[in-house]
Amino acid sequence: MPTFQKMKRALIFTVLLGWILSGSACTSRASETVRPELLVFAAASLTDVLKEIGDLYQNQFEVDLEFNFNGSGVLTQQILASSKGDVFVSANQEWMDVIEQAGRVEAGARRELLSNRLVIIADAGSSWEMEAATDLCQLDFRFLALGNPEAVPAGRYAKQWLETLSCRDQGLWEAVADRVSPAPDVRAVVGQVEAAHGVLGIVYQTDYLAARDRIQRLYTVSPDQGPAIRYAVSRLTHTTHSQAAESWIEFLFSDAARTLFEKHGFLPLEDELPTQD
Amino acid sequence: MSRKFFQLRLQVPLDRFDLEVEFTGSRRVTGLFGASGSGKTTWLETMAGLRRSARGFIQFGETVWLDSDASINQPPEQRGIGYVPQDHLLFPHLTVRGNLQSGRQRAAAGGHDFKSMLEDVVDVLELGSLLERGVRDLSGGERQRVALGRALCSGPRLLLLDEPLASLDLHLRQRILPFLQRVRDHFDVPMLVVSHNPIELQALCEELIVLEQGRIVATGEPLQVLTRPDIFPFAQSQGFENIWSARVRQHSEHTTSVVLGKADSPVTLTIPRVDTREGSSLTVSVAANEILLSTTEPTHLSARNRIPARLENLQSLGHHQLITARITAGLPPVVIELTSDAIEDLDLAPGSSVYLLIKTSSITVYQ
Amino acid sequence: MPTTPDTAFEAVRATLLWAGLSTALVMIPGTLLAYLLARFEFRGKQVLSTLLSLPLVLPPTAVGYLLLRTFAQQGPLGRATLGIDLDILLTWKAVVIACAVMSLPLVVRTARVSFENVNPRYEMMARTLGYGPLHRLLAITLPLSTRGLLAAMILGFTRAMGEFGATVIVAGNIPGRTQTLSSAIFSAQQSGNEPQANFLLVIALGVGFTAVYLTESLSRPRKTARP
Repeated sequence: MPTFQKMKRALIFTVLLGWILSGSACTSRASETVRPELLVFAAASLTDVLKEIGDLYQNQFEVDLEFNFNGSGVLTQQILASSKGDVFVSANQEWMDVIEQAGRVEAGARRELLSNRLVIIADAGSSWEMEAATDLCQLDFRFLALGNPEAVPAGRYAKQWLETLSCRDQGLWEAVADRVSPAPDVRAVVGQVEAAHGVLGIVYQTDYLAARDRIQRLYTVSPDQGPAIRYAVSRLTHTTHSQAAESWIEFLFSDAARTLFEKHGFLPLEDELPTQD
Repeated sequence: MSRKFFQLRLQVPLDRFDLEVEFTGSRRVTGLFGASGSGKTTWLETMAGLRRSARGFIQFGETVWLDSDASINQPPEQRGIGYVPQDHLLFPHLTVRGNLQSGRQRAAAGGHDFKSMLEDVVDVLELGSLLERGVRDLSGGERQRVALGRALCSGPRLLLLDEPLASLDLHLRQRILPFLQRVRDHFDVPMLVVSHNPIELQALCEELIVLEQGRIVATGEPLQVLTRPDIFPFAQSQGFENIWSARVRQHSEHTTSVVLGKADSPVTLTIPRVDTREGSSLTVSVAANEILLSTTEPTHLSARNRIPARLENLQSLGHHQLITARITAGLPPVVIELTSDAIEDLDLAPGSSVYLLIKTSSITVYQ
Repeated sequence: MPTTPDTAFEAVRATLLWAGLSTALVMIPGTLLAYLLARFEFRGKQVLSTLLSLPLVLPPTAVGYLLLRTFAQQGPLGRATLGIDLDILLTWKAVVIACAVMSLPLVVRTARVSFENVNPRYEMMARTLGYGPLHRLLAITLPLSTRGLLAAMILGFTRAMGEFGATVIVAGNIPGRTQTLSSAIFSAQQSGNEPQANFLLVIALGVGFTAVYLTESLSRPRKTARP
């Protein structure tokens, strides 16, 4: 059975090889550097901007950064399940609350980092116009795409905002509820708006800016009108590099970082004293 | 002083009836004869342990293979059998050599010297030139020999052959039967041969069991059993023939002369020309209804063989009669089938002297 | 952000390695399970078969969360229960495990069909020659089903290559550590980096196409099939 022997050998070889390679991959990392390594859990919407800020930071400081980008909800579950993670940047307060209530936030080490704006978008060729938020009552869109309000922070904020407004005889949210298309993330919202005709979307300003060549902005919700969008950042209790983590968080509030945040459309918050929530 | 090879008592449910038999095998080579569907293959498979629904008792030598009362039912892999099924089942992913070697582990565990056993089997079955070939392109006869060889090389305690010649045409049957005889003579392993063709059973077996609808209807020495008036018609329809061992005496231009029987007896037979050298053994057969009788010494006759014999027995089969005649004491009786008219016309009776007339072309040679 | 080929190749290299490890991890238990299901009858066979199919039927995120809970600190395989920290979560080991879990049903299914296509009479013949069940599997069934098993392996590998939903939850999406080709595409899309996303997509398509093509050609009957 030569074929069979070959298969057996190939399998054993692959396993051994894989073991060796992955082992060497790990050890080479460790031996290469004495720099502390921070594992940063961050909301997916911050992928690009944090990478840029991270590059700056790593050039200046003797710290290596590793990012784990995902939806804030998933990140929360991962933090709770493992004892890993040095810093958590969440896309809203609620998820950070969960972490804090589980006792995973270093006392006094929670701060509000960024805000964002909600914008209403349409596809690039659309002829709609809006002057006031309540114009939504009249627009004959087929669907209103949002991040799923149950899970996506941007979608939850959007719904909250719509609920504060009303059309002539009913709440704005009720008026549009049957045309809402809940999407798994803001990327999908942009995709739906761009691809199907007659679809409006509500996303963050940052998302709009990242896709501005494919969609147009109809309306921007100013901070005082809309819900308080708050990106929170905190040091996690299981960190083994408190100082490095603190320096990274500080760096996020630095001028260099703020410039980059603004470039991407985020609203850096004033460097306030740590908030209690 | 008869050795007990195996004894069994079986009840196996089948489609239309049950196989219900009880038997003690006291000869080394036993045959099972019967029509298709009479239960022969089921018997074989049950002995192999492939019929889990069988109930009863099987003991082979000192080992109990099946005992329903004691909840013993040994799986096939523990019975030490060499099974040669009708469809051969040669392993397609192995060469001939690979197939022959597939029973190596068991043979070695049984204390056999596998290497010399393999050489022996290859020699007896003339498999030398086939060893490195794949099995897909083998002819029917070659497959049969490889399947036999594989079973033998596994050091079996019992050989089970299911219709060994059935899948072969006449020409191949003539060629393969001698191999089966060689296996029987050369290897001392007990054999159970299942067939619906009397010839291979007569040529191989020391004892014959006849099955009908799942029941044993006769057991005994093959020729005796097959010439029973209630069994002969069926045997005849399945190809019963008189079978003799013979040795080549000398060749002529168109024919060969052979000596019948083992002893240096004066009975010679003229058979179709063969190519084997003088002194070599072969098997010949002639059908019972191909033999003519004459009460006077025939002259001016085309038949090459005119052999004196004495009638022993006449049995009526309706319009035909079954006659046994003795040529010499050293040979089995010859079976002849004639119409009752002919018997009357010639006034034949036990003790009559006759000449057996056999055409050369009526003789089949197995070699 | 410009396309960075090195991150792309890093993701591809890592994904190939992990998919390979995952396949190696799955093949032996998968083959044994497939043989068990193909050739034996036993109580609970249906239950086993159903359990094995679950990862195919459940949403990948559900499987991901199940794995997350299993390896969590307080979970059945976590430090609190076992006494030692297996350190699975958010490491490459979680990637391999997630890929293995998601590809196991496919491997078992394909291998099982492959075994069922082997004439059981050959195994019966092997039994009469004294072969026990494991010996039959190794000497008869496996060699006669190599093509099918190879297809199962490739299918498992492909599934592992494309695995995302479960992996990203239990292993995270850490570039250089646990980012696979799929999660790299996800990240690129999330950050609106179309060029990067498209580049990675093309690579993923290429790998997927090659794998399925190979599987197809293995499933085609031999040209030298005899009547």
